[in-house]
Amino acid sequence: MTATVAPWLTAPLGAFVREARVSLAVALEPSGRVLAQHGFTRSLDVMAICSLVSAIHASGSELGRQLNGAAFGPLHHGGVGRQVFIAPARTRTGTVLLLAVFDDRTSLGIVRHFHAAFARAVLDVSAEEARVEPVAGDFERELGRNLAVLFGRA
Amino acid sequence: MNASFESALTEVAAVPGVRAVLLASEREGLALNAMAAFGVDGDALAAFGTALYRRARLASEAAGYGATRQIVLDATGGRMLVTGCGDLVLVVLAERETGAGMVRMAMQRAARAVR
Repeated sequence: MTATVAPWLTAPLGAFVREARVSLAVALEPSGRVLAQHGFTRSLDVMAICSLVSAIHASGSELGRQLNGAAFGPLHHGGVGRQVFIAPARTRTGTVLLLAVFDDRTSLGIVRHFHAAFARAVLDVSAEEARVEPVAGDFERELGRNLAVLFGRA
Repeated sequence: MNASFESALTEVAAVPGVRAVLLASEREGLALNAMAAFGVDGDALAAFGTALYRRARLASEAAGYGATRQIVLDATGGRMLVTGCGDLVLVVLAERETGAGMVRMAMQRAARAVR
């Protein structure tokens, strides 16, 4: 089930999960603040994963800037059984990072294709809709509140 | 990519009515080599062609029918033909009126070249 604290992500993320047949997905801000998730059952997992994705994206982007003159795009790690795909998508107000975990039921080509559809969908969202409440001074409390909403404890 | 396969791929692309031909990895669904007409989304063709082939191959094995030789998707607007070559998949997009026999022969030659 797809859970979100950003209603404008519900349809794009739901469509991505359904069409790309990924088993886990998280949408987050580059800062690491979680916006939506699908497939996770423990909030601690999401919190840890968002921190890691945020760090990976930041270091990958900087590495790209240093070596390539521009931030690198999507990142794929092909494991034996499961694979990971991390890619940014621009919105009218900033950037959303999407992490997807998938297995042999689908393929990287399919995940990439539907990530492109996800990116188009979130770019179509108006700036007013896509505006997420700014963090009110306490990132940890905000993260905790979002996780509580996502896992039905709010 | 060896020269004989390049030549075979070019031969498939030269069949009248063929709009795209590409070689993709079955597991990743990504094109390794492609020749496509303007307007054909080669990435999407590779992703969906390999997904279709993979499903059909698994279904055929589950049914006890053995190895899958070729898949032909006959749609109102055209045809997609997919042939397996080991871990790779050869995908062809052709117009509706294209002679399927010529395309299939060219695909078989290309598949032999890549094996």
